[in-house]
Amino acid sequence: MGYLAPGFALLTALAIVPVLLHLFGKPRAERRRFAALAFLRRSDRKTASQRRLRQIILLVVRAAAIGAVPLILAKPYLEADDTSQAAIGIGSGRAESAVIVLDDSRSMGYRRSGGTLFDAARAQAEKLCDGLGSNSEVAIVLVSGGGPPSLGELTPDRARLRRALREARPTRRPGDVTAALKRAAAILAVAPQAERRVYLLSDLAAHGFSPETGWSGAGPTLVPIDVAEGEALDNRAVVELRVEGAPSLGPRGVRVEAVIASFGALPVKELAVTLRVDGKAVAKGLIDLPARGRTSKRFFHVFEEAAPSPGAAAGEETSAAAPHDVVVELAPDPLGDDDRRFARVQVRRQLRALLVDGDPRTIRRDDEVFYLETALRPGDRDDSRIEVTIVTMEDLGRRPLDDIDVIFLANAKAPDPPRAEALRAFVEKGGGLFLAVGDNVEPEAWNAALGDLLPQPLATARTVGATLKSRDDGEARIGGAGDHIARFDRRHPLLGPFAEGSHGSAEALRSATVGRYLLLKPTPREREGERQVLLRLESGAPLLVEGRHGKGRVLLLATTLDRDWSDLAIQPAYLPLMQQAARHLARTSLAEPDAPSLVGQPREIPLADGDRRVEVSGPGGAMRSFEADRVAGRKSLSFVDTDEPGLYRVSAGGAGAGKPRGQASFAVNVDPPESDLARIEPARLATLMKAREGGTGKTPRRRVELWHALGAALLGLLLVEGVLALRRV
Amino acid sequence: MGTELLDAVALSRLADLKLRARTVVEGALAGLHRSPHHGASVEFAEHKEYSPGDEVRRIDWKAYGKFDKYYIKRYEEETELRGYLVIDCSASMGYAGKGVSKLAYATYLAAALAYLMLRQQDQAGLVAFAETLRAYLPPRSRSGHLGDLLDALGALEAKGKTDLPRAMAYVSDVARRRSLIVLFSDLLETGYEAVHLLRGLKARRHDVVLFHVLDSDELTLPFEGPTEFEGMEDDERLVADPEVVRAQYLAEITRFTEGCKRGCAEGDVEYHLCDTARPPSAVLLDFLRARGRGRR
Repeated sequence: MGYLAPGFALLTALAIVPVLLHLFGKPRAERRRFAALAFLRRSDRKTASQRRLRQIILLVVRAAAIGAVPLILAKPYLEADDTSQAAIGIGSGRAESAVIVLDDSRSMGYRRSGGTLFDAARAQAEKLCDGLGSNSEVAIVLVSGGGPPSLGELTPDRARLRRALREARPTRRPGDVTAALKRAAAILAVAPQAERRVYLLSDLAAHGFSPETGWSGAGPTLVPIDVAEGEALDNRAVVELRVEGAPSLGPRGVRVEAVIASFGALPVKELAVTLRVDGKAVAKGLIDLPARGRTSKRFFHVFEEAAPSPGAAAGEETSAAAPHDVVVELAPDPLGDDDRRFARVQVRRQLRALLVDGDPRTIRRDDEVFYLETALRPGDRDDSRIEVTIVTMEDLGRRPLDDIDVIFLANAKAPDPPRAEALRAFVEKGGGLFLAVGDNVEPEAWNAALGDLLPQPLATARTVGATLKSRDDGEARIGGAGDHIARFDRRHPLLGPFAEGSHGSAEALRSATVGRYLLLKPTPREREGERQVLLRLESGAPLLVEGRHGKGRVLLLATTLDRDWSDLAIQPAYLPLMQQAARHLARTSLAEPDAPSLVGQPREIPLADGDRRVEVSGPGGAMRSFEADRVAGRKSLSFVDTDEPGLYRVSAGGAGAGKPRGQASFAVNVDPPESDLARIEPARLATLMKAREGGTGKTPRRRVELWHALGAALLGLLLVEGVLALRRV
Repeated sequence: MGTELLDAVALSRLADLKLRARTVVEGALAGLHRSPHHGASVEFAEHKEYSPGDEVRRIDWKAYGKFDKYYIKRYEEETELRGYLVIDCSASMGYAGKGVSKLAYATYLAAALAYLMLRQQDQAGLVAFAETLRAYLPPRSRSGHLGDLLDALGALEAKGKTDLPRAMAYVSDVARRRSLIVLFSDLLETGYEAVHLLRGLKARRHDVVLFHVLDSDELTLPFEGPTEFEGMEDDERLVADPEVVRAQYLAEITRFTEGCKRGCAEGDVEYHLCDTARPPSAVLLDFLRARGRGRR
């Protein structure tokens, strides 16, 4: 605030006079003897509070009235940024070279009562064009660079300018105001007029300005115009979406975690968040958001088994993955694009188990993996959802393990170093390994080959009862009655089905008789925490031990998977135990998530050999086709029209109609920083302007005179004083 | 002087209290339009055997003819009414606004009543009190008693605090027979308690009248500007702006007088609010009219 006649302002101190008079200048009271003093005192007490309040009001009013008089004489005023056209020289008729930098970034889609911020910016730009002098030349630069081509050269043609403004559309892309200002400065560098200006029509959100300033020395005058007129722009957005496997929910269970951010100054209570899967709302929740803070919301979902797509390529989506659309959305707010975030999830259709047969036989029931295969795929039915492949140890080195979820090594000899390394890498990446011992397992060889992978090092075998071979050889008397499972960890997910009261019981496990088992050496101290004994025999020896390695798990069964060393394979517990083990060991049911795609970023679409035509339909229904000249013979196609956030469907095939290709379809999301509409700090904006103005650094200022308002206030005060004084009389 | 009603200030200019009393009485009786000497209400009441000293002209010769004894006729006004004029002489009664003090006003009224009563052969006595008994003259009807009464009234001074319960107890003690008890007080210190005491006297079959004497200032609070008020019976002080508290004060004092009036009415005690700005004759006239109504 300033004063035109500051000397008078000092007299404002006279406002203290009524206070001093009140304190010290009380009129002398006349003394009077009075008989009815008690009544007078009672009356005085009853009116005291009201009288005191009135006295205070009267005092304040009088002090304010006296203080207002010199203040009015001092003629105070306020200065404010003036963005009116007259203030910035528009309409003055002077010729100038100007660039209108029109912010078309996503944040300009913020909706207010009169339309979006972009609508306001465009309307203001049109007014600007109309207000410039007839000899002025104007260019238009868009901030996002994603809209239609802007008018990149100076032109006096008003019709062309208006056409360019009409064609401008708000985009969903992020904006780079600094880059746009640089472009504007470059255009004005060769401008014919001496008066050069850059008009920035924007919400002035801080995210659009980069730290660099560039453009030093004498340059055009920067005129920033806040099209939101200083209004606080609150917004809420889903800024992150993660989909991860949830093993506790089974192979098709997922955990969806969304991070929701508030960019407003006030906290938000009970904001509705909805999870949609394949277009259907499957879960809803309410969250509380702190002011300018973030909150995570977790959903859990189990995908249903779906029939393979009829158009899927051979092998694709039958055993690999069935893609699903996952969307987390918020209750709508003025900036709607960021209220939803999209993801594509590919859930494996079947669990794939590789059985390494360490003792293959021509008679099927004598085969080492006969019982295991039967347990994993009972009756050769497909509804077990486990795809079983049987190989020998020799075959193991010849096939890739990337598409395998779990490997069962049944009585196999110790692998050579390449195979051992392949198995180690498989487990490290998240695969599951089940090692069952037998006569072919040489403990020392295994300890040497994969000792770091085993939960416990192997020791010697111990015979405690009848084994199948001993019975055949008539040696059943060796070792006594065998051992039984005594203890097991009921809380472990693998053994959950055997907990009391659930399907199958502890007795089903305990009924198995183990005639021979491999003793295990103590676990090295440094790996003690990774080991967990799941089944223990009555003798105290561990029978099933779990260990971890990398992202994967390893289970070690200290006896055979067939009937050689125990009759576990013919006990009712065998089938659920093996099924549970396969599911527990299997790596995540989700395919590796795609790298996030953002609006405006190109997307590589993988192509198959026979593809001649590719169609991509966007979220709004618009379809782009790519013919053989862009498709044939290529590994991938670069798709750049990702201007809309949402789900993009890809169809591909021969020259005719393409078939949907779910795995190539993808999700595109908006750039989260654009959701934060906090304005650039005035000091930082001033710095930018200073750099661009060659040191002047001043926006046009408008003087708001205050003495008229003060005069009106004085009249009001006098009126109040009069009323109060009259009431007293 | 005529028969016009003189206000208290005009009365105060008269030479002595007797003259003032007579003036008040005559003014009041003129207002009644009755003979000042023989009231129309003189009625035969009873016969009394003649004794030396009785007027010979009052002997009932018809009764002598019948009973061969001398009998004297007695009339209504001749019944020996005992009246106690009880006056509050506390300091608060000394307040005088623009006219005479409340005590002076009360003495005018009391003198007039005494004059009236003695002239009707009734007995009139005086009890003056503040904290203690200031004066007591037992009821008499002899001709020289009026002078004694007026002298005592003229000697009264307003000072000290009020002890009305004590005074009432004293009156109750001395007034053994059914009597007329007339209290002159402002009741400012005793409040409604005085009304209860008077109702107690009434319950003992006394005829009780209250002259509630208040100064015009006390009824209107006419002062202006900040004023430091001092109590008259104690040292309390209060600085107040009468203009600010007036409305509340008037409401309080009106509530008080109305409360006293209602309390008296409920106890069959005759109540007269006496504004000292009003002529005493007018108050006496109201009193006599009220008595007249009560007798009918």
